[in-house]
Amino acid sequence: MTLDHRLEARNLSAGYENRVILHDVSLAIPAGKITAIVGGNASGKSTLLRTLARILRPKAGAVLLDGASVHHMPSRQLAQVMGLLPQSPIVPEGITVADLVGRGRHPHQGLFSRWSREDDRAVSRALKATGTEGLADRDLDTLSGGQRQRVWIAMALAQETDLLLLDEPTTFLDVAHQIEVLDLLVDLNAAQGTTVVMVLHDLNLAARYADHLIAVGSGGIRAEGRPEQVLTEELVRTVFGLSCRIVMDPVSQTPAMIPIGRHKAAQKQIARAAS
Amino acid sequence: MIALPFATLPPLRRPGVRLVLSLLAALTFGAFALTLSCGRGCLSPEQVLLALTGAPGAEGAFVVAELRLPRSVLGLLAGVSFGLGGVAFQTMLRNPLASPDIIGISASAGAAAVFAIVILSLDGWLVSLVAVAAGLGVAVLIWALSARGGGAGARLILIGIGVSAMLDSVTAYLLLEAPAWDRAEAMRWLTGSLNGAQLTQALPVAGSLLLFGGLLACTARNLEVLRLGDDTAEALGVNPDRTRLRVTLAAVGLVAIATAATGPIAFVAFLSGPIAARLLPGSKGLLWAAGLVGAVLVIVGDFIGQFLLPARLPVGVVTGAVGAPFLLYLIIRVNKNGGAL
Repeated sequence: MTLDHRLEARNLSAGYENRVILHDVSLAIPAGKITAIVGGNASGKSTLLRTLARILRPKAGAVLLDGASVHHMPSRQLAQVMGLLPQSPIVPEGITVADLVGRGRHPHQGLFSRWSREDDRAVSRALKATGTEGLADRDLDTLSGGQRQRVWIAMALAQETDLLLLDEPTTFLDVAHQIEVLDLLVDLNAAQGTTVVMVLHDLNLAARYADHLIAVGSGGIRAEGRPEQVLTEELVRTVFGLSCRIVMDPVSQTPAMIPIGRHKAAQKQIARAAS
Repeated sequence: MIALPFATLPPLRRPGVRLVLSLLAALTFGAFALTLSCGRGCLSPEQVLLALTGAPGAEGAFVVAELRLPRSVLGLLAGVSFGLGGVAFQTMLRNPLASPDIIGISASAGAAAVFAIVILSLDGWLVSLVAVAAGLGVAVLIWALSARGGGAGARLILIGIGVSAMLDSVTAYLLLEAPAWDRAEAMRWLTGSLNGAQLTQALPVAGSLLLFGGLLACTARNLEVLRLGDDTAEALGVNPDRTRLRVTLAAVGLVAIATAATGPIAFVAFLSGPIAARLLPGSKGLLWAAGLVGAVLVIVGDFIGQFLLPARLPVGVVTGAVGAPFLLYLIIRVNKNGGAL
């Protein structure tokens, strides 16, 4: 397995129907690292991820994987290299966990090839890695939100791709499960060198877990780089329109954002934010 | 690949799919054999075999080979076609109400077949061809009309029901205009019937099962993945639109050609998928299970209609009587769970 698949966007414009959300975006995803895409609601962070994952066709420009446009690559071939966990996948009724995770093997199976031992092993590894092996025979309908999310991630793991894209993998999870999912992605990145690209809502978790941060706002990339370079008071103001203080997270020694609203802050902080 | 520190687990258990499919196949064969050996009177299996192999002077040779065999063969093939076509649509559109006999595909094939026979005086393969063309045309029409609703919402179903009603009235009109229809023939086009079945009628249905059934088999795995939603399917290397196109073509072909031979046997396409889904929770093998359930429904329904009721009724009346309450049940249930099979 090579670790240096290069995923990049060149002069990318993307959006839905007649609405262009991203204008002329160029970026390169660092191989073998964890990248988090952050930004406000409707800032285009999901649009960016979905276009990188070739779900959305670009209006202009291109998404290149190792120099070739992902939108012109055979879908199955691409699916062996790049996996995606969408924001709201559909749960078919009556499907078991093992069955669902097995679907992750689809790109590795030919038209007439049968389920192989390698497929079994990949599914077992994915279940084990996500701590869901005890749930293998359960119906997906019967699982809690956190368990379900881990199962979806297991499906993406069973795909065994070098690149894994996740659209808000921690949404709807309580804080313990959020940490669990993010730790899992770090494990995966450390053990296999998987390049992880995810959209995250929580700036502090993004700064803590990502090697590379991309801040998206008003149709383009406002900043990218190491979290301590990107997550600044200035950036939060331009991207989110929010005043804040950036402090050092005592646990991870990464920048952490403390928001300042109109209430519930010491007077001098509010005055400072207003000035 | 760098080894992860994971112990390999024993191969995963995939329970019972083969068993259920085998039982269904046995049931189908049993029903088929029953309709060959029993009717007004019963023959022993040896007698049936002798009659089928054309042994000279075999008892019941005419009844078995000329009357029962074509009827059973046509019922089997049409049942499998309806079952496969129905479950393909229901799975693709994620809605059990989106079956071809509810949303007007069967009705269009039926109307086109009557038109081809009565007005154009065609027969055989040409009737099938006209029926498939009409089925595809109506599928495109329904898709186009409901496109703005996005997918298989209530919009598609309601438009389909409307189109279906319109086409049923076309069939009724053509039957009234027809010079010399007997009542049995009219019943065939209104509810579906195996009366007067001939082996030559089964030929196009067998051909369509090979061609379109094969196409469906090749697309089955992609269809399975499509159930996870378009984005997930795409991420797993499945092109959603291409998959839908193939499944539509295959399902319309199966249903239209079967309808051109037997008429729109009521609710078989609609019932097979949900029954199969209850026998096989989960989804592996659902397609084939639904095909077998379709065959059992048609063969047994026809047997009941012919011999177990006070009056001889075409198979469509029997399956219709079973299907209608189930339709009501599903409409109530779909409102609750948002439309799973």
